Amino acid sequence: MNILRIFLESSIAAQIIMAILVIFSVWSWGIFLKKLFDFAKVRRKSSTFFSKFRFQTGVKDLESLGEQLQDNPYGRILGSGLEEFKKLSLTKQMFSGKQNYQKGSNEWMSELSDNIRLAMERAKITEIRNLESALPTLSTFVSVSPFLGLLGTVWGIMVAFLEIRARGSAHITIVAPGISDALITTVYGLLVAIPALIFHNIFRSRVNNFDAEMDKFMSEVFARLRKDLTLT
Amino acid sequence: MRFYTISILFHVALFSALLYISRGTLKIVPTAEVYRVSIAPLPQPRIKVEEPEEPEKQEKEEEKKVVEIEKAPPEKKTTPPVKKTVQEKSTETIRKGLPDVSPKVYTGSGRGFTYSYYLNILLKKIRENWQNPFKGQDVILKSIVYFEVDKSGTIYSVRLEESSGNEVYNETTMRAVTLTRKLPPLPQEFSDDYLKIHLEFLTAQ
Repeated sequence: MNILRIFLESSIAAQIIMAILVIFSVWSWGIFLKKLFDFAKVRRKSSTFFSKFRFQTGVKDLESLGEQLQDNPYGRILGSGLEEFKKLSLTKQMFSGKQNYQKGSNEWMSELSDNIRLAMERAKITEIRNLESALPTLSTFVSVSPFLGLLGTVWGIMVAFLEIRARGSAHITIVAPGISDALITTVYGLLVAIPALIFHNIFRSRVNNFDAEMDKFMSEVFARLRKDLTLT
Repeated sequence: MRFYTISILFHVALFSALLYISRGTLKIVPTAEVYRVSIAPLPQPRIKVEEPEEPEKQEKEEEKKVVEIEKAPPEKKTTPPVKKTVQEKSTETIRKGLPDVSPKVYTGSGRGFTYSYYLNILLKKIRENWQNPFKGQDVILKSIVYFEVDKSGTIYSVRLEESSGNEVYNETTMRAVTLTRKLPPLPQEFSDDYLKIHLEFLTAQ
């Protein structure tokens, strides 16, 4: 089997389909390599962030993480939570001198602290969206590639039967080219779809893991900030 | 963008590797043209019209044949019944004399078919086309094939006159006569229009 020869001897329809499938293949492998790199980078920076985060107990200590708050998803989620915390702290300071404030102030702050959680939720959604970017494209390749291959198959068989009708003979030399086109496009379609499906599932699984870890991280941060807000 | 570049390079490398692996299998297949043909019932051997030649010495011991030839005059229908009886008796006499390796000639009018060289050619040609399935085996079978030869030497009206009891053997004997199809023309001196031949096929003994 010579792939170049098969490609050159195929009909124009089969060549177009195979060219599209090759583009899909290049695209999906590009996405795979990019996401592989991105996830490795996130994982590496997150582990560095966590190694320092574990030893920071107070809010002031968390703020001291500095630039590490912005170079990884966990840091950005924490940053949004701290930003909301600062706003609530300012509000608390503004009302701390009022006469009626002291009465039931802790309950009031407890309710307002939900804003911190919501801010972190928003940040998490943004981070998850970034992490799963290009996964819909992979999913599209997984779905479309076999159908494109199937289209080539149907087209090739149709051409074979048209040749039979035109020449009035079902000799193998008449039927074989169409059948060959038919089969090779299916092979190309599957060769694109199978790796793309594997990549998609790998990254979907990793995104789900990140989602679960972020939830856990958010609850931990939220507990610390709310405690600090209500007790001080 | 660099990842897509890497992906392109990866695909180029992959296709190059596939091309390199499959380079040995690249064969130029000539385009075949399609001809419409009708399927022939049997492959026909090439017929070479031979000049009459001197009789050769008979015979392989394992393929013993007796030929009984009747001259069939066109006016046979009008031949008196008495003559037919005489002819049949003569045929039976010859059959009883088996095995015999020489062709025997009989005519309805009582005159013999004296052109033995022609019979030798006939036997030789049929023997060449006969694939005896029991050759060299200890099996005794006999079948008689009837056919007619016209003046041009064409064989027709081939049929199995007497079965050996073995279908394969019968088929080979019929096939031997059918494949021969064409013999040299009958001798010009021979005045009748065609010959009736009863050919016996005997396995090795």
